[in-house]
Amino acid sequence: MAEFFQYVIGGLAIGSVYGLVALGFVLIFKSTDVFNFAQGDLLMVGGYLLFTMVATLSLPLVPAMLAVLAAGAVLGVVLQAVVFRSMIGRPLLTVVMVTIALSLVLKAVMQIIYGPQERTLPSTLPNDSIAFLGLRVSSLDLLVMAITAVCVLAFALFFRRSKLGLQMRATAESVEASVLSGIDANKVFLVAFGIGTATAALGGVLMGNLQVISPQLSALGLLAFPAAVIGGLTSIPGAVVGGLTIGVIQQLATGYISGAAANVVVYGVLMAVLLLRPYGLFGSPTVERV
Amino acid sequence: MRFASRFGVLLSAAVLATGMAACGSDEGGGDSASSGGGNTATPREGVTKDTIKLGLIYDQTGPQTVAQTPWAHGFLTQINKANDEGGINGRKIEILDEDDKGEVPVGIAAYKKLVSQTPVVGIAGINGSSIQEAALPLIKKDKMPLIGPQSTVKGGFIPLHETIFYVIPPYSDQADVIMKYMAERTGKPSPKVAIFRLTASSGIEVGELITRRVQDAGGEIVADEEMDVTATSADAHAQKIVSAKPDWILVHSSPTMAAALLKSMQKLNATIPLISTFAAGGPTAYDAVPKRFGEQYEYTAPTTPSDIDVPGTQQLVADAEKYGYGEEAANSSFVVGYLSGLVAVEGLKKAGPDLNRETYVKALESIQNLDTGGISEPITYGPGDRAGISATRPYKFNYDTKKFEAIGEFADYADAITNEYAGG
Amino acid sequence: MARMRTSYRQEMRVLSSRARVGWLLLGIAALLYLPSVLENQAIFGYGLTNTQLLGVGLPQVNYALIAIMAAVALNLLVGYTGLLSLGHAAFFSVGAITAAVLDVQNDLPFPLVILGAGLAGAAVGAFFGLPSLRLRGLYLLLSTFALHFIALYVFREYQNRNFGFAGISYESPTIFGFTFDTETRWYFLLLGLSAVALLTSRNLLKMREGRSLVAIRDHDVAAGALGVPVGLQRIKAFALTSFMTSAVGALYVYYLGTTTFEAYSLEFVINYFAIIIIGGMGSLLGSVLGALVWILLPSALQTFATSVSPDTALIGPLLNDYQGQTVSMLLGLTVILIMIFKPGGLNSFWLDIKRGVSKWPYSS
Repeated sequence: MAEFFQYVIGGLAIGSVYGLVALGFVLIFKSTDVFNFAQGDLLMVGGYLLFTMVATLSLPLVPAMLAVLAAGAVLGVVLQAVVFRSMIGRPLLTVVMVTIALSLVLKAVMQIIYGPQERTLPSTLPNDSIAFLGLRVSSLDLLVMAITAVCVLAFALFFRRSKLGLQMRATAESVEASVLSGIDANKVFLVAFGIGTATAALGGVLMGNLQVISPQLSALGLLAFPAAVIGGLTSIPGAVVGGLTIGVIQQLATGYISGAAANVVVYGVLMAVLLLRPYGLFGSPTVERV
Repeated sequence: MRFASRFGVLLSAAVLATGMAACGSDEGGGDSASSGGGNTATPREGVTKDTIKLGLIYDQTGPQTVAQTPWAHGFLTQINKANDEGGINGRKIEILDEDDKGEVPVGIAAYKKLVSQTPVVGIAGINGSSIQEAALPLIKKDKMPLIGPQSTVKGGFIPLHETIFYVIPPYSDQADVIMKYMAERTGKPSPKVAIFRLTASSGIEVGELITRRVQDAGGEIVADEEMDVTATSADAHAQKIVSAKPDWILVHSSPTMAAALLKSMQKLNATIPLISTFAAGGPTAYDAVPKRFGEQYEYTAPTTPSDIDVPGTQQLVADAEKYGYGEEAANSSFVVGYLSGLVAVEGLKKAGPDLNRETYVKALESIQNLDTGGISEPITYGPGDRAGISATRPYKFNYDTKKFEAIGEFADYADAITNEYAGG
Repeated sequence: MARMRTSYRQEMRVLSSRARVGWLLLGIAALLYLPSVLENQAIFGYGLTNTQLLGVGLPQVNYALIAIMAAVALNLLVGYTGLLSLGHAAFFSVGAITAAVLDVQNDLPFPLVILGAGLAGAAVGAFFGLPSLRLRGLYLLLSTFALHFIALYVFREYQNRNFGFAGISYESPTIFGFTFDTETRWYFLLLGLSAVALLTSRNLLKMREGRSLVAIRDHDVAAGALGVPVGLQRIKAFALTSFMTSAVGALYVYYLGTTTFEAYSLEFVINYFAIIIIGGMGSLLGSVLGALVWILLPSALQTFATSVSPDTALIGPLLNDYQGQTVSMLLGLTVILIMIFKPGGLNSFWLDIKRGVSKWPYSS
């Protein structure tokens, strides 16, 4: 029984990262209708940037992490302005294709700049092993979960209370109506991308602490999609819950069946959700326009 | 109708123009053998009076690039060095490199291209075990020399492929040394062993080899964990391994996955001895965790890391700096590539002025006791022997001096090697 | 355009004008001569360097032909019927498994194997199509995404149990004693099959079946109101696509001689999506152009890369040390540019040329 909870704890930790990536993904999708295949690559960029800040520029860890978030946001804004603004209103697949191409470009650029080696952070957030009720929890895992929780809270407050958040929610409902109401939709899109990319960068920063920084990190993005769907493609807290769920399922499947089976189980669950409740656990059933 | 005829005019004009341009740019082409109109194509096997073409196939943009690009850079260092020293018998070496993206069809297409379309006298690389396996029948049919791949596959040794010259020992030799060393290190001749491996051909191969040896020694395999390449956390695997309470853990994976395993062990506060094949050697795993956990980790390799000062490694570091790969000199993949390059160049030298694929193979086979300055045991091939090196020894990392240290000499472990693949 | 069709018969004809017949004959002649040009690297006795041939060789052309057939199949489902499906790699793998079971394990003759692969594919495809009865658009895409991983797992288990990790090997196929073991022979086989695939698809699209698929894409409720059995046609679209794809998948593994489950990755699927999107969705010409560009462009780029000396500013050292990555980056940037400026893909580019040339000097 203890091992079951041990798996769960490990799952919650990695699931928090999935949740963050899914969160950014859903935010971008909901606000701008862009299905961003490059979300995982943005995470990878965040990881590498953190390495540069800490190892090359010798910044202390926490300011470096914040700097990466800022850089991520800037990158997102630039991407929206340069690439995705002209994609507004285009069919889904065209936009997906652009994000796929973007993913290729990001991977290639990172490899050219950083070379092929994996990078390890010279120092990470504390990773002590804490004994707790017969289980072992790492302080780093707890930190990751805490940071994610803070993020979700911050988002909730932002969307409910702030003017910009309200504008974003309005634009997500209907772009035309919000423009008619005087909302600057372009600004909303820029902000959405900026925040979405910053969250991915945050995921990268956390992964840089949890694991080694390598081009493989972009594979995390692939699990963001099931996470977002299970949570509900239109629900931001749902995305995080979806991420946690996927993380736990993955660890349990790896533990009780095998590493290879884990992916299949995750996607099996995705199938089930899609067939039974396609709008996810937290999404609202949408009325299909005829 | 209108379009068709107009388009016809345009098309004919375009063809004529290209034809004229082609006529004129004959001299400009980088790889034509003679000048003037009506030249012949590049000679069939990539050798002209002043160039030798060698092919280089490796994963540049796929999942294994992290290990394979340093390998390629090590190889290129030797080639650049040879060219700077005046080339080989008056010819300069030109490298045609191809990206196999870690995918079998791309690798096979790249190989076929180097056989006849842009022919080369020999190929280095094809490091991915799946791609190598797929290419074996083609290599046999084309009698194409393949030099120094970064990984070995069983199918290359059994049955022995005459034209493949490995520069590292097969996994059976590594498994032998691992068994002997770990018995000494843990004091348990019949150990309980857990295996942690990646999902690739070599993972299964290593798993089988170790399993058999452990069982023959009276021990048992208590866990066999296969980690998916796309997974980013080894927590569940580590949990299963630790709860099985093994005497030691065998690791065969990429350095990144080994680091993930160590990090998970750290989370579980577990200190169990680990030994890895050379695939997961190098600084990455050690940088990832603090001393208490990292010092449990050791790896075997046929090459010596650049921290250990022998004439060969000093030369390697100097060469790496000279050609812009200074950062990668400590990478064990770089060292293997360096040796692959050394073998390739030596073979070319020995083949002499009459160079084609057949003479190249004969020349490579004649390499005896090629001195690597202490980086590895001297490289030897011979009829029926394509393994080059069979000696392996364990290494560890000293966190206090921040340097790698060898555990013993290559010769200390020579008696453990059973030559199971009969490659010598 | 200046072409008016005055009868249904004329609409159905493959060659609608005499000029077209002329082009067709010229095209056939060129295609028949092509292998000789590529293998001997000479045209009418005049030698060509590798760079002039854009680094293209017969293996790449064969690979492109296979891609054309697979792209046409995918376009039928995604472009013409509007059903977003990521199952392409899964269908390829069905072809590979069927070929393994029928040929390697049971020694059936080659044409039967291909047919069997197609039928197996159709069955699996129909199954993949079931979610399309309930799901649309993005959700359908995700459900096929999930099925992809499940199919891959099945293949992997099959391979490990019966063939081991190294992969499944296939022998060169023979038809009536004629063995396909050289690039040139494969070229003619694949060329013939591609022509059949293209012709069949074109005719299908002009028939009632094909038009009903397009109707479903454009407005499924209206189509239903007009008497199109929407659900059934969706399943049929899946079955048809996967029949073709599976058969191509079997051809593919025979051509390569070997396969392993690692080959059927998500990237594989994404490559084909790239092909039909760049080429132009809902267009057969688009499938052909997209396949040619996607397969041949990287090797063309790589060939130019090798002829650039390392001393050239900026590009030189990049190409020397990181050739694969630079090519990849350039390819990605090209796609982004195409998508921004010409989302209809190469096909729309071609249509623009046609329009421009036809209307000249009044093209605006």
